[in-house]
Amino acid sequence: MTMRLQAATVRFGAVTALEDASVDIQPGVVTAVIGPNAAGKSTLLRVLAGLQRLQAGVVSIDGTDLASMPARTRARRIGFLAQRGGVSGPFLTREVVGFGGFALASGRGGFHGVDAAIDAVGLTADADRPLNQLSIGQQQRAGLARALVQVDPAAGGLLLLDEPFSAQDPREIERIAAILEAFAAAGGGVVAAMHEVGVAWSVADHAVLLAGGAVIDAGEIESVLSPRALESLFGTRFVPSEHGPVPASRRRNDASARGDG
Amino acid sequence: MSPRRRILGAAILIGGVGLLLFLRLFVGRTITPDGAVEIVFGLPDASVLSIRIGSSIAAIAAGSALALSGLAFQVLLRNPLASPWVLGVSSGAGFGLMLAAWLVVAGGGFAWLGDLLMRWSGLPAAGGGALLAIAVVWLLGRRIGTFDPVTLVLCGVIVSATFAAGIMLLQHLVPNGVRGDLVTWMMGRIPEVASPWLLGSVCGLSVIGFGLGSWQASGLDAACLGEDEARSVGVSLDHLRNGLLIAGGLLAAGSVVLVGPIAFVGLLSPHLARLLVGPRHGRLVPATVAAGAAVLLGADLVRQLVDLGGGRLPVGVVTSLVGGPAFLWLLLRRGGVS
Amino acid sequence: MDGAVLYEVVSMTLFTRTFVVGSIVRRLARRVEPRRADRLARLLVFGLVGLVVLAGGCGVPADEGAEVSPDPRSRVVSLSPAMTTTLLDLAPEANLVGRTPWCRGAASAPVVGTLEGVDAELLVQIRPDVVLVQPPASGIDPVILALQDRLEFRLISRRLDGLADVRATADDLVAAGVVESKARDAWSASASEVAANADAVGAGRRLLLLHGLDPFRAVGTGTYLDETIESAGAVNALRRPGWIEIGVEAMVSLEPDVVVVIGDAPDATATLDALPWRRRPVVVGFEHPDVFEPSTRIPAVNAAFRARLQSNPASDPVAERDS
Repeated sequence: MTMRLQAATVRFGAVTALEDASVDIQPGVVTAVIGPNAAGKSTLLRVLAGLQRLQAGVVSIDGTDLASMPARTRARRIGFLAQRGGVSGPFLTREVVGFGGFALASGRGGFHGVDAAIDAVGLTADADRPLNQLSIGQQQRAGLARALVQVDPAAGGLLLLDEPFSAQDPREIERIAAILEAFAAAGGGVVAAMHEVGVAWSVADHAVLLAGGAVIDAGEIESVLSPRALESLFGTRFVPSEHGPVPASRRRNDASARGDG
Repeated sequence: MSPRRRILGAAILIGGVGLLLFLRLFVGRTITPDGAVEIVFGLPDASVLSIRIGSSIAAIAAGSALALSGLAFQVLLRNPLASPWVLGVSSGAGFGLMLAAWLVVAGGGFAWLGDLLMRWSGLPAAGGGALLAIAVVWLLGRRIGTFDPVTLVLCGVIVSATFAAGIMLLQHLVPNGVRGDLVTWMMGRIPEVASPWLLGSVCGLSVIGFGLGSWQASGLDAACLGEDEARSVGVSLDHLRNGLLIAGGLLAAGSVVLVGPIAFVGLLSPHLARLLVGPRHGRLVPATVAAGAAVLLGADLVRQLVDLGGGRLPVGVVTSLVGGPAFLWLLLRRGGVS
Repeated sequence: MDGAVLYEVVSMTLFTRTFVVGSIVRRLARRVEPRRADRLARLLVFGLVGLVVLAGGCGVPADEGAEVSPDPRSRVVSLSPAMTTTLLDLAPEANLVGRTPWCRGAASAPVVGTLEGVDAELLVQIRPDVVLVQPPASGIDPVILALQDRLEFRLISRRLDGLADVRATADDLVAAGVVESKARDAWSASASEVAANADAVGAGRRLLLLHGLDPFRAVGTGTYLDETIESAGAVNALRRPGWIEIGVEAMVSLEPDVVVVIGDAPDATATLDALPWRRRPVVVGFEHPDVFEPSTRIPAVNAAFRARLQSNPASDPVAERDS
């Protein structure tokens, strides 16, 4: 399974959200999309999910143009987690996770079944509560569980996650990271937009740097995520460490602040 | 919601409809030999029973059509406060009736057109106006390019306001007696003797709506996710929205022609059903049908028995008097609408 | 609703259902989702069974064998207060068995409807021979027509826009055998006599007749009160047909010589005097218990109206117009 974006341009009125972006998504690896706010990360993900119309360019999976793919076929290949989850109506968490099986014949065929997916994201205790009563982080994890029910990595499935770590505590970050690695190891592709550089370093294998709607760099994460690149991206100083580049500390008596990259 | 509670809820609904139907058929008012009117329980004689059956069928047909229409619009607009009239159907129907009445009274050479529109108790006038309202909303949505909730609500507001302005204009142009008729019509009336063609059509619409709703139940469920997520799960949101708009509009048009613009039935029945059987549409759609039938049957029953001296209350007055507080209670109980 | 009609409704519903069921089941079979198809099928089967039960249980033939009323007189239901008054004036012993809440002089009869519609159940139990209706402009209530087919009563339906309509109603009542022709003739003769003896008190003055003050509601042409104005020899200042809600500007521009206000509004004179008339008209109040009913009492109302105009104590600013 390869997903390819070629020269994609997306405009909302006078604002250009993506300009001539080209990206190749590999299976079996976790790809992090990193960039500052309003860089176009969400738009890029929505384009890859086939949810956003392009003013120019093409997005294709295994050579087939996504725009011409019927909704259910696309749903079986691509799972999407939006930045904000939630459901209108008093549906139970278990039921919402079950929505992932909508496009599947007899509701089976994803990475996990409904119960296994709920276990994997750590929501077993809350599975029978209405989703809207859970915290934002829990709702996000429920959305991830739904996507796991929806796509099968062994059949070339792809997970597209918009800021999956932003509302999670470290234990949950670890849990999610493990799930993503397992998904990639099973042959699927994972693309996650985030701006936590440290998490990207520990979880992702590839990275795509995005700024102002344009792809700055893409490739193996060790080479793409250099302190210099990050500094020009985010405008703050980054220093190298054994956990990847980290923002230079502001503590006055921290020796590394005086160090050079 | 546990399975036991759901079964109990379903039983309450079906039992409710059955009980109300039973009461409606067997309780009524008779004229005693000395001319007084009193409430009586028992099997009435055949002619009265046939009127009550006709009335009950009309109430069940219109109630279920209104409830399904309300549910369709609530899902379409992602708004628990949507009613069948939110997109201007009742304004359109009222405008059609007012236009026909004006043609009859003051149309000069076109009076024949007014007469034609008022045949079969105003069916062409009201139905034409209602369908026109839906068509305008649909065309506006297509022109703008999207059927998303905000766009549709705006279109509905525009259409409602335009038709309401037209109604006001015609009311000004028309003598007093005719104006009174529109006010009466707006309060709603369950016809005791309706044309079988009209009854059958509304019944058929309800059945088709019920069938479509049950068939698309899982799509309707998944459509409750956010717009992007619903599409990503595989729901053809555009087709679904198209279908909901047309189905909801036709159901509302059918009921407004049969019983007039009755308030609160379409708004409350889906909530009542959701309270009893939960939000999954596989159960919610049939429960909504039952809830709508029960609500309108109940309102008609109350209307039959209460006589405040000025003739019986119109059914729309009963639903409004009960519906307002009931809605408030629902709102408070839930602590806000989720 | 007799069996044939019910059969029509049920068969139409079943037909649409069959069609829908067929296409739905086909699509479901293609999808191979046995669970949902099964549940849907079950629901539909219950529904069909329910319908069949309903249809079967309702195969009750319309029973035409009503109990014989001991009173051999025609049973009359009146859905118009004006027609009730007319009926009771011409035939005080008439057998009125149904009325509206505003019918006067018929307290013993139960209320079975209003000007807008009738209570079908009660009407069916009453089994009238004659029904009197004063239909609104949008036409007679179709429920009444449907009931007429079923119960086969005689329907007298008249718009009451003038004395001629009341005469026609009286003729209809005679034809229906409810009123004796000599009672009708007696009334007709007295009405003509009253009209012949009328002297033209109004003397061609322009008169505006108001029946409401907030907002101003005026009597236009083509109504029975317009005839009242003409019977007094005056001319209706308002030349539009029907019952008109009139604004102050329009009223002032009519330049009436006399404004008559129906009903007791103590500050009517003050209200009207305060308006910006170019030439202030004479304001007269007029009351009569039967003024709002176009019935057999119109001649009496007309006579009282003339008397009121004649005895108007206010000075007449256009007295020079009188002959």
